[in-house]
Amino acid sequence: MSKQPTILDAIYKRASVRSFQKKEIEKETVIELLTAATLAPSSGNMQPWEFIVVTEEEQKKRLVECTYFGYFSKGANYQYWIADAGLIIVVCANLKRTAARYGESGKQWAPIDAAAATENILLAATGLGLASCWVGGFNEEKIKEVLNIPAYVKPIGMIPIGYPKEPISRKYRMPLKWVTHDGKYNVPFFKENEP
Amino acid sequence: MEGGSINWLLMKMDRIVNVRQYKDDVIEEEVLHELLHAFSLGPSLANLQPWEMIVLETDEQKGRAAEATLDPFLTKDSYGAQQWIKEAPFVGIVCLEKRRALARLGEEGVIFAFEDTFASVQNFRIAASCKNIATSVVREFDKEKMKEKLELPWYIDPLLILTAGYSDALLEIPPRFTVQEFVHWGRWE
Repeated sequence: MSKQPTILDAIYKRASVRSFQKKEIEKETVIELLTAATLAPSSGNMQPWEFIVVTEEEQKKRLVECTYFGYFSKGANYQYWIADAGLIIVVCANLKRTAARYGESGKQWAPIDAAAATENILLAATGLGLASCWVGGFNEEKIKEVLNIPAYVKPIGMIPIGYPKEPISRKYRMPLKWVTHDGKYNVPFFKENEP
Repeated sequence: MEGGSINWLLMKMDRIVNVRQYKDDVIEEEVLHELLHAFSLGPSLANLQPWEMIVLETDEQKGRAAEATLDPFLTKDSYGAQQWIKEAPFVGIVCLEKRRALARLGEEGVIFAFEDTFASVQNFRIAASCKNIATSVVREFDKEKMKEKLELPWYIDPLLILTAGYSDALLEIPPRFTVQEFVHWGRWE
């Protein structure tokens, strides 16, 4: 009997992919991805996420012009590859929704919730044989203008999604010992010779 | 005033009835701000503050809202039945932000959101009455038509039209139950 795929398979398999086959993504799949997104946890269950689904070619090009490649280039180099994705989901945080309940601090929590929803999309896409990449290098003001996003909604990521063109390979990850503390900060969790 | 009589407040509350005739005088900006502030002090489930308000500023805007109104019996296609709202110096369309109303509890949350928003409306009306400003609440309109006329997005649900202004109109203060008539002490009888 073959082993059933688990959530860990998707977690281990997910990587940022930037080249896609020219292939449309079915509406059902889009709905599946969005549903996965909305199952993320959120402060006070305020579900502050909102999604702008972009499939139209002209609109994708406008999104390209909102990107920059490398933080300091500030628009000198666009990320043209995102337009090759079958679909781009722009994940936004509705700051007003969480702030209604919690006041000013809610505005800091809403993007965290939207980030959790984003990771759900990335994992769901992987599980469905799709690939994607969380793109954060964009001009926030410009994208708000292009997508008609109101002041109280903050775009937190563009997720171009498509069928991957090449085999997926993950990038290096730091061994756990560099990112783990035992009981309190600065006490190593892993002893000598552990991973 | 704390601990003193609230007879003056009860009298102001008693005078909150729908008034459909207003003088032309506009409500002073700071007074209107106070009334809106009173609105914002309404209670809401989990502090969701599910309300939003579109204040109609021009005759043209008020005219469009009036086109969505129905007669008091909600007769189908009786559009434009309440043209009088165009004459009110203040016209606000009180709405629900459906997503904020739905977030925590789903559809049941929307029921609470209605209730909460009406409490805010009453706050506005009490504050207005204290300033000798008359008000009215109009619920008889076609929701979809109103959304279309005011170009509201799908997640904004218009609940009621709130009008306000100074008025010389004779108030039709209705008879009310006495406390003895509706309160049941300890048990139903």
